[in-house]
Amino acid sequence: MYVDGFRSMTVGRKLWILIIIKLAVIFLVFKLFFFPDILQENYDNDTERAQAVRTALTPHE
Amino acid sequence: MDELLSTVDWSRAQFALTAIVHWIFVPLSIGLSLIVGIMESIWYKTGNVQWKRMAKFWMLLFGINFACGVATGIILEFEFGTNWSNYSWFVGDIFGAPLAIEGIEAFFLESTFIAVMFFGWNRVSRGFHLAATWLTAIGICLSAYWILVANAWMQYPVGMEFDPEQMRNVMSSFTDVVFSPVAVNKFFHTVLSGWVLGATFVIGVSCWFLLRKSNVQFAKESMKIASWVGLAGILLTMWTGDGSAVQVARVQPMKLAAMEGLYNGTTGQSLVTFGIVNPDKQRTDDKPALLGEISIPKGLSILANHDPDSFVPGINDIIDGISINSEGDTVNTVSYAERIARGHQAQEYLRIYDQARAAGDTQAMAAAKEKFMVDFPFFGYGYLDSVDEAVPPVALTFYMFRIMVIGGGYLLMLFIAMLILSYRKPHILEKKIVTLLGLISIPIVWVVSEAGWVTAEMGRQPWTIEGLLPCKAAISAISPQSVQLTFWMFVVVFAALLIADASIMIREIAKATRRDILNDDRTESQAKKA
Repeated sequence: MYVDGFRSMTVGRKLWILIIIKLAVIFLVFKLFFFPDILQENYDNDTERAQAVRTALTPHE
Repeated sequence: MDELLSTVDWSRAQFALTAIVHWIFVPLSIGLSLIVGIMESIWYKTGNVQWKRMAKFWMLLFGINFACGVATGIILEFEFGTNWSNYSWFVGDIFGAPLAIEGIEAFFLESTFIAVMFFGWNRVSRGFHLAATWLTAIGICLSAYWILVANAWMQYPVGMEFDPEQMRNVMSSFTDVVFSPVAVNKFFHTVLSGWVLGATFVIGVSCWFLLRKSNVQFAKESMKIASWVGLAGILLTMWTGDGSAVQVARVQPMKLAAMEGLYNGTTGQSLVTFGIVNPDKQRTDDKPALLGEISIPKGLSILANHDPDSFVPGINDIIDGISINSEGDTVNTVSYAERIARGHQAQEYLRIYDQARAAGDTQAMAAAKEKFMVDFPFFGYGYLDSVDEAVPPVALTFYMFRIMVIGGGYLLMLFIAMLILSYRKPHILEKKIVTLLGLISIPIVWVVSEAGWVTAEMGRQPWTIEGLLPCKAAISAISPQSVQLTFWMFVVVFAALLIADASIMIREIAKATRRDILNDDRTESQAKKA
């Protein structure tokens, strides 16, 4: 059903191209180059991440 | 500090842009899936193939919208990790759980049944296809529910305990989070508004057919279904909106005060129907908050408490510590000046906890934690420089609320008028003035729908999590330039996406005006191919 469905698409083919381009931009451009998970990337484990957030949220007066 | 503020502003602008664009697609999917389900059900019941062809045409537009909108929401999650890292860590599994459920459910339920919906005509039984159509519609609503659970928790944080060791909130009651009254009400208010938007879209597109004198019977039958859906949707949206007002009065009274531009509340408080926010008004001066005000006596007391003589606190009352409790009774709470002091105290105990932790002194850690937890409900207030920072942007919240309410009133009139005309004077539907009214209602309904979200989100400023974490503490230590860059990239990508969505839809609608949808088998084959 899926194979036949994909084969017989007209408007849907345009939509699939749009979806693929969009997903590529979102995941391969935005996520990869512009949206790192700051805490995951900069710290090795959850203890360090918790410490980083604790330090950020307890500013010295 | 200026740089940090700038990062906050750009991050907020970016999040608002993404959420607003995402919300262009979502309500149309919610509304159209329902209308398609109803049309297909009529075909299933009556066997009249014209209903099947109608369902297929609207399903085609649903598919275009779904394809353009899918995955635009995931960008919001990227932004959490990059721009809002303190926030995303602080919320812990409270936020992660519903979003993960949404992702899994959306992928399996929606993607599976959408495929059957589009590719399954003549391949599966009529009953199975109908079930797939309805399960797609239900799946979209369930996805919305999980997202709204996460949003409602930010507005009304319940079912969690904060753990200073992990520095995040830990879920203590899944049911409290999932069945939070704010989440349940927000779900119905939001999904029902999707019915209204979908119905208005169908009416608008049908009016286009009538304007072009094409597919007149198809357009009129579509308008009948859409008008019923829209009328039910708008009435139920208004009803849940009433419930929402009562909840806001109790759990976010500052938001309600901002929505009304109300600085000093009273008993039997009037409801503003028209007014211009006085730009010179300062919180503590005696200048009028609104110019040219027209109000309904006792209206706000009725709206907020269902009691015409009840007290509704204004911004100054709330700052001074006068509010209403969950039963609607006037109570003395903690003043904002004290909340800020206790927020500082909570931060200080957290600092002591951290030092004890570094020294490995478990006894001192336990003592600091105990004191910290007493003041934790005011933790976020410690980041505010003054009580004025706790006041949402009054003008924007005030105007957006009125756009939503007045727009909702207009849509109610539209659905009633279209229903009466559809059944009593169907020939008048073909008049140019009526068709133009239907067409201009398409952009209007989107403005109204977005205004509702802006009211909800701007009215809860400065918080990301009510009372616990203001935006300026939730932000990552990144440069404003990096957020600025991605903001403008989003502007370009979203503009391209919206142009693609609109142009593909317009092309398909234009093609449809050149043939007989109800009696032309090409409609069926075309929808099947989509």
